[in-house]
Amino acid sequence: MNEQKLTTVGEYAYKQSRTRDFLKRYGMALVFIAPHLIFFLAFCIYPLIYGIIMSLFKYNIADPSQNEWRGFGNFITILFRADNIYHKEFWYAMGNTALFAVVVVPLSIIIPLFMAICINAKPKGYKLFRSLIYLPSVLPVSASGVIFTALFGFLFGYINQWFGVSIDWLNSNPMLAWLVILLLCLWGGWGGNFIILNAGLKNVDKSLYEAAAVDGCTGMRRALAVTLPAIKQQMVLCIFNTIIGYFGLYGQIYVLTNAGPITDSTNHATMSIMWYIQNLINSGNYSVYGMVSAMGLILGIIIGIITAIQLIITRERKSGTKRSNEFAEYLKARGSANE
Amino acid sequence: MNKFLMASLIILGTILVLMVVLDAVVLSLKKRKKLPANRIGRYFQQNLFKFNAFVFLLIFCIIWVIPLIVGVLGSFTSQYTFEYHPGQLIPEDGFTVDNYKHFFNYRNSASGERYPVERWMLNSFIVSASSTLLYLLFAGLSAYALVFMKFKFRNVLFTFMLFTMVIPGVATMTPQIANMANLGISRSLLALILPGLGGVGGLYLIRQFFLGIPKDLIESARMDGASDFRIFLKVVLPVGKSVFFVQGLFCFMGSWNDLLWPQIILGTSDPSLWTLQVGIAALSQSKTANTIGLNLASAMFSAVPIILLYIFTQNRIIEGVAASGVKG
Amino acid sequence: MKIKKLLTSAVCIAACLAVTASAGVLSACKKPSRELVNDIVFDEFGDPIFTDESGKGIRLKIQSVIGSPDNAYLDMVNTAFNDYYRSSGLQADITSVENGIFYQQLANTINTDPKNAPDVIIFHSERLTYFASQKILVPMDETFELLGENNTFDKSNYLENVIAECHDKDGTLYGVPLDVHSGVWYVRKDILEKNGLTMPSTKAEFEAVCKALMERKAAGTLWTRDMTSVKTQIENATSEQEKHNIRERAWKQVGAETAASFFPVEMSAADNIESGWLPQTAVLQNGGKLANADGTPAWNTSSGLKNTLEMFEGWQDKYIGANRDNQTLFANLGNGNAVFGCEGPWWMEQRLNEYDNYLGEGALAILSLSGLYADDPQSPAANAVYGVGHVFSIANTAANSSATRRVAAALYAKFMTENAVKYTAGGHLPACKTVLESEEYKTSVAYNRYLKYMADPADYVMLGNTQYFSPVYEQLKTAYIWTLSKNKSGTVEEHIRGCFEEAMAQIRGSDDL
Repeated sequence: MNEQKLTTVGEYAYKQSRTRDFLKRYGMALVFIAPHLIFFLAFCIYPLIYGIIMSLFKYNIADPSQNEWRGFGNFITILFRADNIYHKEFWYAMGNTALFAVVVVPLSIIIPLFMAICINAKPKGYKLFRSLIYLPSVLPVSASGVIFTALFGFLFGYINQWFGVSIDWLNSNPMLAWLVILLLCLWGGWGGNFIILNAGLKNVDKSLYEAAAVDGCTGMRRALAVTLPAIKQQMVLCIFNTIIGYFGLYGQIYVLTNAGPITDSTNHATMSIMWYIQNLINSGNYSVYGMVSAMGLILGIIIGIITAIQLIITRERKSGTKRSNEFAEYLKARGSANE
Repeated sequence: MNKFLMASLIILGTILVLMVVLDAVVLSLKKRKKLPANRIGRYFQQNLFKFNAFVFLLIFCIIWVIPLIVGVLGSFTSQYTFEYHPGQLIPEDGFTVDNYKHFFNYRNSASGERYPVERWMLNSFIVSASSTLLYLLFAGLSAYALVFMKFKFRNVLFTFMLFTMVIPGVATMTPQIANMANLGISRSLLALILPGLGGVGGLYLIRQFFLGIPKDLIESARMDGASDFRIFLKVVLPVGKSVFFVQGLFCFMGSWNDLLWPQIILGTSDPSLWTLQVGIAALSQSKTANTIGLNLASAMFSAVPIILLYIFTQNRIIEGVAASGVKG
Repeated sequence: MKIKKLLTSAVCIAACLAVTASAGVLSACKKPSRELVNDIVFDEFGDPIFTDESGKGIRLKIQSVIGSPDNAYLDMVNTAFNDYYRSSGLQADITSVENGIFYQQLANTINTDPKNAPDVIIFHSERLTYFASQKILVPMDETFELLGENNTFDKSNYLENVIAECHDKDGTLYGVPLDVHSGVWYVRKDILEKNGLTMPSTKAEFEAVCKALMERKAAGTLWTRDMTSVKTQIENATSEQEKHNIRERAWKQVGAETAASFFPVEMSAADNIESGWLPQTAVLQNGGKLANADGTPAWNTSSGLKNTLEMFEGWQDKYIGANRDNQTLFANLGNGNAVFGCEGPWWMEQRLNEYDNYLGEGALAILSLSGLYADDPQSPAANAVYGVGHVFSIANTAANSSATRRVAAALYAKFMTENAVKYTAGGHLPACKTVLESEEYKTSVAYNRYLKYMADPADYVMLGNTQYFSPVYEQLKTAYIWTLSKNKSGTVEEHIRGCFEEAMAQIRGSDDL
């Protein structure tokens, strides 16, 4: 009270205006942000914090009296305890997933890139081709999975009948099963990459091509030599999107093999990390939920690290563009020199 | 090997070989500058790569749509054909709509009641449409504030939001279920709509687009004394139509195709609550020896709305995906 | 200053969320177990009254793991229950839940969403011990004590071997058994007879029959018959004589060239239903045990398991056709490309009707697993068959809501098991002696068709009480599936040991959580 008395009118007015100003600026921002923020806090952050706390417990969903504080015990088990089954299975599934992602990435860049270059030449009916190529990517995985089961089924499968072979694609050799999963991932998955790369190509300066054509580069060689540096940004984006995307590989495996077949060393030759976590949740062991939360968090941290690497790489993208620009200028210079 | 297949493989192979030969001829003629000066010669002079691209695309797309054709034709193939004459794309005993009939008249074996397929359709539509519209509104407002309003920590806030994206859904699944029960909305469609409204992915896309809108546009509107709501409605929305549309489509498709979460939330007791994907998953659980026809029919049924949506909006979708790459 | 404000509010929000979340976790830790108030009111006859003052009755929610096609039969019994208790205000709604998500959802629903949780659950009894240890179920005995003199529960009214599975490891009763069932071999008896062979009843005979069939195939003198090819003709036939002629004309004599895909036995590495019966039965018929008293697997030491699996391994490509999977069983039996196929008993009604109709009475026969995998057919254990049963248990949600609800649930379990005659049409053998001895059951089609084919229900051996159901059972299945799989090396013995070690690792892991 005393202090307030002491404030001069000018100070008071200034303060008032500042408060009003603050309200005007932040109040409005708050009104705009609030609806989303409330849902974000309630349905993203709250479960996340709850999950983090769960991961510090032996958490039983059926009988809460069995909950026990574990500290970082679950994390230590997953990361370091080599004799523990959760450690073994987690890293086995993780390895499978990472390996699959690494195999898929080149394929889901090269094929879309090739197709995008073809489309970019704008042959007759290229719009139809483009939408046909992207079409499978919008189908639900459950639907495309059923189609692939019908194609690669052992006895009723079309592929076996058409080619007159008798291969048990999904149930014998794990590599065959992985192959079918890969095909489904490609068929139903790389449409996005294709469109992104295509858009990147479209934005490449036309004069680059002309210059290159004059220089004697033709067709594919021209496309590769000139365009690859120019669409580096899109490539990096696609590569990392694909890697991160396939860390979440679940639906394709669920519909096609359900992590089978059995081999000498493992019961789940095509187990991915998401399938493993999902399987733990469904396993009927009610005390495993703390462990599951810990696994989810570790997976999240790993994906976070990959994202961080991506961010670091894309920081450099300016130099990439710069280099392609330099190349363009060089070509132009040579072109004009030749003339 | 199947004769038809053999023939088509030979044809495709021949086309490829012919193309390579043609290329070689054209290139060598070109080198020696002996390309005929008529129309054909000029065409190849200028458009050799275009021509090659066309052939590649044609062959590729033919292979590409085979699974789709199999899906469609297979759903019209009788169970008899699948069991005894598998591999026939065009079955000897003709096409049949039995699989679809079976799908629409599938009865709950416990109660003998028909499964309410059309109700599932409606539920799916309600969930997808309302979550899409609400999300667009909320994320749009939020993105506007994040881009065009200056306040401390907006970037910190946004980065924090982005970081939460890397945590996979399974890590928070169990708390989320408890969350729904605490709110009293488990076993209701609300539990499918609300959690998605806090998503960050769409917000990110919309924000990226807003970043591309020239700041001057907003500033000049502000100078004219327009309120933020007005600017949002009259300036940003029209400019950002396309990104909203695309994000809406993604939302709609994601919501339509979602299976795991609805399965957990809606439970199994009341089929009239289910969404289409949950219902279809329940139908394909049957123990019968050979249900691939029924499975294909239900898969096609669930895919048709999405395919229709795609056909009518494909250019927008493709633009949207492309934009996410160019600006990302 | 603004920074401070924002920072504080952000910290506040985060702290609030953290506090609520941890409060959620911690309060869940110390959930007080509610003291049950005995609110049961009895009428003048000593039966409990289920309606309250306003006349509102009790509607029980039942969740059942029994799926298509047999849930239709269970529903008939449920209807009978509703008719019987309608006047008392007691009704039950039964919903069948798909096996895969039943167990996961159950605990979640009971814990987070009691309003939608079931009062009674019907599930496979092997999981009972685990459920009891997780306090999902409430003991049966004390519930029946609440029920009064009129509705006493007599344990001896149920088959001893089956109800034994309904006790947890401390011997408390947690469920009322409904049935017991086991896989069977479906046999093309007409093909056997036409080739002058008889139904086998031991391991050696089974192998001899297969050998004889393959020899006839090699010699080109194998008689076989395709049911699918006569279907339309039979449907159009007007007289029995005509049908008979059609059936006789369908016989063909074939050899290695004309019937390359004929193999006597239909088994596969794909997750067929047989993996749930054959290895278990092999262990038991040779005097082995599936689980120890402490719940850990005991099948690893069974020589019977090893011998049987090695036998199956040797049958591959010899008697078992390559390239078969669970889609092909009834197709190959139907077109005469196989003679033996192991499937669940719930197909019996449909399949027997089908074959009786198209190929004549007795063309398809049922062979129980009894005695088939014993090294010594004379030993006392040789008739043992591994069986599983469905059981009625009261979920703790019902128990927590009111004592009246709880006894209503107990009454439901009692009524359903004692009146299960209609349910047995689905191919399950009743566990209640009242049903087994009733005139209605003995004269029913179910009795004539199933009990005479299948083993005596008293010979069925259950898994035994183990809270490690999944490691014990799934790893044994895995050992079997591996035996028939196409990419393996090493011996059966090594692999059984491997599966055992995997099971033990799983047990250690879950104990260690």
